[in-house]
Amino acid sequence: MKNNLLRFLRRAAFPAVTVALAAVPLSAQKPPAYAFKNVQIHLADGSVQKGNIVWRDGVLESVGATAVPFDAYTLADGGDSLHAYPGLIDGSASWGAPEWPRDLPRPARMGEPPYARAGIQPERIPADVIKFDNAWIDKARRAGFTQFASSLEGKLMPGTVQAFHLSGTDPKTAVARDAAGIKVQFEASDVYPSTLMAMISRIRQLWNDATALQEHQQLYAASPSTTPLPSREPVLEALFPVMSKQLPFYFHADSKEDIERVLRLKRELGFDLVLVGAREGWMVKDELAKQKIAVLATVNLADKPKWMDVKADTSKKAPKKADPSDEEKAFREKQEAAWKADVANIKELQKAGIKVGFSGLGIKAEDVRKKLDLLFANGYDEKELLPVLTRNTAEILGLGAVSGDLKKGFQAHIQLLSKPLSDSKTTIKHHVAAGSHKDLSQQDAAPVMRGRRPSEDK
Amino acid sequence: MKRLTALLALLPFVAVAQPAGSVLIKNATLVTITQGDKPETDLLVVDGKIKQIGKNITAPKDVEVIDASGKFVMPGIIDAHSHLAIDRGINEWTHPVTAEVSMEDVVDPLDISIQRALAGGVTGAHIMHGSANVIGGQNETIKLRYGLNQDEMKMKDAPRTIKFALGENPTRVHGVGFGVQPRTRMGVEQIIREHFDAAQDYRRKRTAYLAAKGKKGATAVPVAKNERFEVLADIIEGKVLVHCHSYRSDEIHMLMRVFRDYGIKNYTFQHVLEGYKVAPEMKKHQAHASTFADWWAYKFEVYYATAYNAAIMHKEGVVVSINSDSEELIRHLNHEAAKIVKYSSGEVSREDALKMITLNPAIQLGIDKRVGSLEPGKEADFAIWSADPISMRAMVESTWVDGKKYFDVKTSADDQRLRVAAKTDYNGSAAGRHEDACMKDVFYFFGKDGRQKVQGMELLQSTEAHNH
Repeated sequence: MKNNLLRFLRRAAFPAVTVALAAVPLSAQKPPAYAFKNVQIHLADGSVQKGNIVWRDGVLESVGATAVPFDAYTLADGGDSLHAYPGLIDGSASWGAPEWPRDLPRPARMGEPPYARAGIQPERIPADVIKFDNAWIDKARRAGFTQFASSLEGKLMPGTVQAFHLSGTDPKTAVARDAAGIKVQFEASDVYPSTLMAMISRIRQLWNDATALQEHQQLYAASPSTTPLPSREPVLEALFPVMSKQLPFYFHADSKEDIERVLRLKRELGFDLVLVGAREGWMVKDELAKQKIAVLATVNLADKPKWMDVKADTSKKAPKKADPSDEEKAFREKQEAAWKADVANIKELQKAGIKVGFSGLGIKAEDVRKKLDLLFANGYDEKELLPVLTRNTAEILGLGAVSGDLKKGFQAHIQLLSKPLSDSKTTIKHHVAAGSHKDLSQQDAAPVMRGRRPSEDK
Repeated sequence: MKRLTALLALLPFVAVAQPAGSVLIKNATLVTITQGDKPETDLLVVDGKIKQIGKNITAPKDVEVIDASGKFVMPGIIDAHSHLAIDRGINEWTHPVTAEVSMEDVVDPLDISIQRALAGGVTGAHIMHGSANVIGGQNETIKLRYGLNQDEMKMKDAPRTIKFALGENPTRVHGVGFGVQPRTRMGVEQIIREHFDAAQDYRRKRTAYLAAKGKKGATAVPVAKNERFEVLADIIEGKVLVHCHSYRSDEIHMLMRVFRDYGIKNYTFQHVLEGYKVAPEMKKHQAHASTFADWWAYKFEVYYATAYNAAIMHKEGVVVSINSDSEELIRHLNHEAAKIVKYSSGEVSREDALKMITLNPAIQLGIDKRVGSLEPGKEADFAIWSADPISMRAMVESTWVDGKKYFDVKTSADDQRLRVAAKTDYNGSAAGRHEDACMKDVFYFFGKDGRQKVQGMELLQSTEAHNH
């Protein structure tokens, strides 16, 4: 009898009870869903559809013409007038990064400074040094950014490139990718290397030193009893992943000549490259395309020269202006060509088949909108710029499988706008970064996760 | 072979194309430099090279013909000491020895000074590191192919050269400024010797390591490639020509002793204003001299100078060139050559003076087999002058590099800037003269009042201008 009961419990009742008990907590623990309902959904490729966006636990659960689940909180009902976009991604932002210190004491030997004093710090990790400060975070959110790659300030090699999402207050808990690359820039120091030529030489020597150190360490690992103990050099070891092409250099270069210098170093040393800035990238687009080099392009464009916008005033009261001299006319022709070339840079790179992402370096987050307006007003449409600002940047940063678009299974990085992105009058209403929602419809809106479930709709 | 050259040899797909032209110049007076003047003579250029010199040459099909009756054609002037076309710094002044840095990496093809030099009949320039360091950086010999890119500006396969500097500049910057060796001229010599010794030691170790590395079961501890010592060792092995900034006779003598000890030959003293005191010794050591016509007294060590310097060294058999070291002077180096005739008491002929700005600098740069005179087979770098180039009244009418015209006094546009940034302010034009000599980039140490606090230290400005 006892055995039969045990057998019954084992075979039937116990599993059933177990399943029943397990089902209850599972249901109860399921995190709540959130939704934007009846919105215009703009995908990274520029296509548009109407529908709902639902996310749960930071991940997009459905996008498009699917029903909002019963347990979802509706955070906004657009009534088809609000526009949802993937959150923008800045592939090279210095937000929250400490400034390079001024008035550093002079080292004993100007020509042989310690690595850090010379600004050679590839081992520096942004999460350790940047601050998630509300002042800049709020501006970045209002500009539509949900993720960014931290580009530390400094000299030749300011640090590792690390990706973050704009949620929370602690950078250590908001890391999207630990290391996307190592930043390099031709930024002279007041100690060696203080010139462009010395910076180029210094890169070569760092590469040589790292190569020798790695060989020494490998030799020691293979024959510890017959090999002197190699040193540990965090600076040089930080270059090992670049030497093995696990990580690229994020090399900042704007002029054609600097880009050529970077390409030459690339040929010499053999590193993978993400080009950052590339203001004159169009001049070397064929070579960039041939080498399949991705670009995080600057949009830090000069305003249109004032004389280009002056319309003829034919009224009698208009003061007569002297015509520009022949010399100034020739100058204006060159200036106009230069300005137009700057503006067309991204388009030209794209036409050449280059993957172009976005770099906001040198622009405050709140000023990005003005630069986008300038591009939209001068020949760009959303199909061209949206991938730059979202998907392409995500892919360049190594986040393309999880973000950069509004797709089921992707992380929920969304900006909900009052008008299309290309409309200069658009304003942001809601911001979602890694599923974390902020209502930005009011200037000082409290950042809360509230909404109405469909079951509450009457 | 230079780094780039080696690289290009390995990677033919990045080969640099340097456009070459064909042209027939008719009925000019050819100032050949090596064969005297040839009046009413034709010069045929085909694919960038001088094909023929003679009378009544017929132009090949589709080759442009220029009637140069009454004009003079002279080889392009070569400036053996220039700092034009260098991007962001000519002085890596932070260390007394920076042999690893190179102008090859930082050629600025957009520098408007290139166009201005072309207008003075210049076709080649030796762009140099500054003189802040005992052993500065490597220089680059370029052709003034204005409008082409930085690689295309370089004179392919020209010998490697490097800048050394003696005297006040390195001692002032490093000894006085930074409190490190060298503080004295003795220290300068010691810096050179110590670094040569270290480079030889490095080369032995590196060579031994590389030899051992390739063997089975190799356990040699790696010796990292050292960019600085590689260059220094190459100097000792004769692969890099030294061009040394110098003024005083004692330091000139010192360097010749040092070089004798290390077996270094074929080098050139730059400035060398007291060369006249040691000209026989320079001749004995086969040292060349590249000097000014009449520019001195800009600091203490350059007071004991004479306009007869070039003539005296020339008379002693030293290969002398006249350089500009200036983006202004480079525009009229023919005038500087004329001064040498004047200040020679008849010892320097017009031909020899013109040689000092054409063939002699080419010899000093190791490119004399290719340029510096009008001879069949040589590269077609020349200028057409309105009159005898030695004349004050002579004007350059056009300048040609590799048979291609880069300057024309009649047709070149007034504004020759290649690129204008969108932000450029017309009224704040980049045009205009700026400090342009060997101590460029180091000037900011020295405020106009003589003292300026820089990075927590004060330096004394000894004279108003430290141009060289």
